[in-house]
Amino acid sequence: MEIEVKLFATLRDYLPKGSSRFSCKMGIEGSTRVQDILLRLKIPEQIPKIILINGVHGKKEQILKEGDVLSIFPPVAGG
Amino acid sequence: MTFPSLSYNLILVAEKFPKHIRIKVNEKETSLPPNTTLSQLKKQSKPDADLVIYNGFPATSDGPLKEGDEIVFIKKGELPSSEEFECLMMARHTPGVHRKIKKSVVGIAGLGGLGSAIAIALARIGIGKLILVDFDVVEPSNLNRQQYFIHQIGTPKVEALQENLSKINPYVRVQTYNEKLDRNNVERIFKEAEVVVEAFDRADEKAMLINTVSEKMPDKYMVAASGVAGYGESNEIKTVRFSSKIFIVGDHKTAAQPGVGLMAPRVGIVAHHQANTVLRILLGEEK
Repeated sequence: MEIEVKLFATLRDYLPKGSSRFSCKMGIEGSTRVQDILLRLKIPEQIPKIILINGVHGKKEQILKEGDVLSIFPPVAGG
Repeated sequence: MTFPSLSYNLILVAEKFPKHIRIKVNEKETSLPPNTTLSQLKKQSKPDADLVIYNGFPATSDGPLKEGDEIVFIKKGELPSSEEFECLMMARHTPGVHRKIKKSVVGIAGLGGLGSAIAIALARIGIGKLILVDFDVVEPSNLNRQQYFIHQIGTPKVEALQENLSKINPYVRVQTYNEKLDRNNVERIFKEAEVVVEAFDRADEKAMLINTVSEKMPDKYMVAASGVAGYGESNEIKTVRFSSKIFIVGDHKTAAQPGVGLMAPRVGIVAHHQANTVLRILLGEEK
């Protein structure tokens, strides 16, 4: 199974080599969670994240399925 | 027996009842008998005015008014009536736009450099209601960018901002919450808002608010900010649509940290991008 991962702003540095500017395709198992993708991409746990799956709210423990689009935005401090 | 022609009759009527001229007085359409002078109008409509603005400039002489003139009578520091406010908003924004803005409710989370400026921009355009949330007080260091004054140092921000907004447009309804937002109170506080504005300082709180609103109230629009510090190029500030409901404004990278401070110009640019995005949502331009 395959999903698309879109990383925004400073998280783009964590895209695997050869990815397009914003996103990459990743193969998943039946029980892959958002958290597993974050670990595979080595995105630090402490970076605050806004997570969407197919454009709606997603949780770290949510299991991904074929064709899902996972989008992650890391807000930075200041206001 | 012959009758004078119809056109002859009309001329007689016109001479007996000369055509009134239409002018605007304090943005309100008014009809006046011809040859009414500026001083006569002042005596009729606002004898205690300190200033008279005639077609955009302070009036220096008297004379008869003409069709299309725009007159503004000003009593220094006087609160315009709600009717006058309505007229001036309609004149500036057009009636259709004004009506939509006036029935809108917007929530603002955090009243620092972003939130205070956004609230002021929205109050100035006559938003119907603002829900303002912050648990902090005004500190001296806030004055480099936040819309507060020296006499307000030590005052809760919700209270200080409410005072400032009331001096701009007292007809805007303002509901304040002097409390810290968390996953458990966001829904209760912003229930009525059509758009929730994220104007926090800390990154983890930004993520908490956006994730909570999109989880618990997925139909609400959110306008957030990320990357507002320093004095980087103005045109690096962008509004990105992260989902159909979430907009994120900023350069998306420059975090506030030691050596990269938050300063009025750039924070103000982001705040006004946010306020304009809110306005576009309210006017149905971001469906």
